[in-house]
Amino acid sequence: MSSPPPVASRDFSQDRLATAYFGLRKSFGFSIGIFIFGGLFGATASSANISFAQAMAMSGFLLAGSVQFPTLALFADPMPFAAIAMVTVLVASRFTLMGVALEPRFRKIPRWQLWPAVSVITDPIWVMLSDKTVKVEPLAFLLAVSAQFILAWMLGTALGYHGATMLDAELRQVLAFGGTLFLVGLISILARSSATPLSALAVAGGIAIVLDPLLPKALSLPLATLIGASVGAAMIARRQAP
Amino acid sequence: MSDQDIWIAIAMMAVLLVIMRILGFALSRLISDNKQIRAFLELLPACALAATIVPVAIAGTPVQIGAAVLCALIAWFTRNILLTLSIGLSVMLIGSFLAPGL
Repeated sequence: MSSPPPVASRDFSQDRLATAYFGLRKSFGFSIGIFIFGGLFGATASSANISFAQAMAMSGFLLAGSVQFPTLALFADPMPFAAIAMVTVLVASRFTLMGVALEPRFRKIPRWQLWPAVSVITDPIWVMLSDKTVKVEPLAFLLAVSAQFILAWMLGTALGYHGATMLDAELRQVLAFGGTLFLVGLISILARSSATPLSALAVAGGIAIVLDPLLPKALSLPLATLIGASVGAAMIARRQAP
Repeated sequence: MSDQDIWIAIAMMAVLLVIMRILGFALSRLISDNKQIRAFLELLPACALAATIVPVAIAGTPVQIGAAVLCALIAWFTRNILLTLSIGLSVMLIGSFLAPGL
C-alpha cells in the first residue's frame, strides 16, 4: 500500500476551495511571524506618537513592514513628504520585481480580477508562490493567504499598540529588530530553493554591505540587486548547459 | 506634525504601494519569455531583499548579529519561520538581559 504524497506535491490547481484551505494551512506559521512583526510595529507606532487609528490605517493600507518602519521614523514637523515617497518607492521596488517574476503564474487570470488581488501581495506570499512544486490555483491561494496575513498583521498592530506601555524602552528596542530577523528567515528559506542560488543572494548582500557606506541607497541597492541577479542567472545557465 | 499631515502621508504611501505592486504584473506581459531573461527577472526580488536586509542585519549589535546568523541557520535547516522567529527573539531577549547595551 503506497503512502499519500507529501502535501506540497499535491495538485490543487483545479480546485479553488481546496487551494484556499491548503493556503491557509501552509501559511499559518508565517501568520504567527507576521502577528509578532505586527505587534512590533504597533509598539513602535505607539512610541512614535501617532494615533491608534493612524497606526491601524498604516498596517491595513500598506501591508509592508519594511516600508512602515523606516517611514514612521521619518515622520516629523514639517512632514518630509518627498523623503517618505522616495523611501517608499525604493523599499517597495521589490514588490514590482516580485510581480514581474510571478506574472507567468497568473497569466490566465483577467486583469480586473488580478490587479485588485495583487495589490496586497507581500514577501511571504511571493516566497510561497516561488516554490514551483506548490501546484495551486494562484488567485484563490493569494486571496486566502492575504486575508489571513491582513488579519494577523492588523491584530498584531492593535495588540502591540496597546501593549506597548507594558514594555520598557530598552525591551521595545530589542524587539524592533524582530522585523529584520523575520526577513532574514525568509531570505534563508528562499536560498534553500533550487530556483534561487545562494551565491546570488550572497553576492547581492555582500555588494550592498560594501557599497552602502560609499553610495546613496538609491544607487547601492539597485547595483547590488542587478549584480547579484546577474551572477545567479549565469549560475543557472551554466547548470542547465548540456 | 499635524494629524492631517500624517493622514496625507499614509494615503500617499498606500497609493504608491498599490502602484508598485500592480506595476510588475502589468510590465511583465511586455517582457520576452526567453528562459535566461526570465531566470534573471525571477532572481531580482530575492536579490533586492538580500541587498536591503543583509546590511541592516550586519550593522546591529553583537547580540543582534548573532541572532540574525542563528535565524538564517534555523530557517535554512527547518524552513519553519515561526521557530526561526521564536528562537531569534529569545536570543535577543536573553542577550539584552545578560549583557545590556550589547
